Amino acid sequence: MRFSEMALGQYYPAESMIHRLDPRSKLLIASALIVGIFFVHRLEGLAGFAAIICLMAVLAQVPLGYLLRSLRPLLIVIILTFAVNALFTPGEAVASVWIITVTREGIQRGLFMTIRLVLLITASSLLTLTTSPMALTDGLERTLSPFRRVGVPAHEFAMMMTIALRFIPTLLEEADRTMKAQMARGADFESGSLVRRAKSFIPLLVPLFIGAFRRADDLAVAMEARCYRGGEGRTRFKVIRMGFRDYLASAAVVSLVVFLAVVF
Amino acid sequence: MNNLASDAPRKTSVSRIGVQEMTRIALFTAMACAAAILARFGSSVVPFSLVPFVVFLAGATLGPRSGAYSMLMYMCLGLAGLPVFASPPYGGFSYVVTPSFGFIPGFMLAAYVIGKVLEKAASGVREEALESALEKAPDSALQKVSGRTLSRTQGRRERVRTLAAHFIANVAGVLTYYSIGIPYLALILNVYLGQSVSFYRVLQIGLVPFIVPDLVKALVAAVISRALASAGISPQR
Repeated sequence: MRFSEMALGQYYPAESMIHRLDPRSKLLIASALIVGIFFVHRLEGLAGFAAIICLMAVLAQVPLGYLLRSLRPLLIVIILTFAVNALFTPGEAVASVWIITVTREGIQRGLFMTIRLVLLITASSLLTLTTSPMALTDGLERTLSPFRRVGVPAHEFAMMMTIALRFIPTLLEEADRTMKAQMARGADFESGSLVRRAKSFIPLLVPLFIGAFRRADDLAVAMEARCYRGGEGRTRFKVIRMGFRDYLASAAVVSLVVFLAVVF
Repeated sequence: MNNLASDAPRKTSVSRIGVQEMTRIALFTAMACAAAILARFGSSVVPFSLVPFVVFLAGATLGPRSGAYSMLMYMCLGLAGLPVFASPPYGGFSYVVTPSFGFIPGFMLAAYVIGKVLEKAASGVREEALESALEKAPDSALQKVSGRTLSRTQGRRERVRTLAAHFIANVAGVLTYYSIGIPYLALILNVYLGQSVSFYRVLQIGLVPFIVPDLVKALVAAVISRALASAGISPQR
């Protein structure tokens, strides 16, 4: 298990203009880009988006390799997208081998879809590359806080996400302990038929859950004992603030996206 | 089980979720993450993961609202960039454009449905118990109504009945997440590939290889959640 990687996620730490932006404005910019890319129907429009994303990547000082690495897990989907479009779009034949025919329209269409997909992935990766998970949950909390009035528990959401991250190693530890405790009592997890082995996991899972619940309840008691009482009036170490720069960046990107989506 | 936290509801707090409820929701979020990380033996487009298993238990042991919250938090963590999902790219906002993303909001709704079905079943059982208890011994009726006493005194027939209720609830959950995940899969495949993939083909990719293992998971989860319920771990009302 690579916990160091887990904790950091895809975040690439740097001291750039984009990193310093408020997470809320980055959330807005990323969503605007993603929605905008779907609305564009011509290659010129996609080129415009590509230019915006490239500019942001340069400003963010994220190495090209990091950005391309985010495409790797989706490489199969990208290749499949191109291949299916190139092969199955009817039109003027460019090359044909046996029953496989590649058409000019197919290549154009495939290229368009592939570029669109690559742009979608890079736009969203830029968000997670330049914003730490903590800053993101913080931004999410602040974005959602106006909706508190209609019953969205914004602070609780952010708090629960933080606690969940803390619980992942605790759970694995608890699982290990329960397994050893049952083995000490003669439990056998490794032999017998599949059904038998599956059955042997029930006496493992029930105590595991009960133990995990005890841990969760202990944490609740500890929080209450330290006078935790929700987000009301809570101060924080890192205060996020929408500055002039944030409004400027958001306005610039959103207006560019609207322009591109309307024209192309 | 330590109930200190829930025994003293605070009037000063505006939060609608109690602290104990919060830590329990976070616990299930962590379980979903752990299940996804431990079981990355995925195949084709939709992952075969243990996450549905956590979904069944979240719905049954946290109740509809909290169960749904725990899955919502799981989704948010993944979208915020942590590699907690079962299939590549494991996390990040770009996960939205992967074909199998639809299952994750589906899990959220499934946990809600499971909780709701069990809530209905439990209120039915309690009413029945109240009626029969009133018939037999009117004085002690009130004592017997609490779920804890009921689960201890219930016989074999009752145990089978609750197991059936848990299994039916889980099957309803399976249907719920497929009913969101499959249309999303169809949508994304059609948007990506830019042409229509027939719905039958989509079912072949996303439903046929997974429905039987999921029903098996539903059954095993029912056995465990019933056992947990009789051990006193059940939604707080």
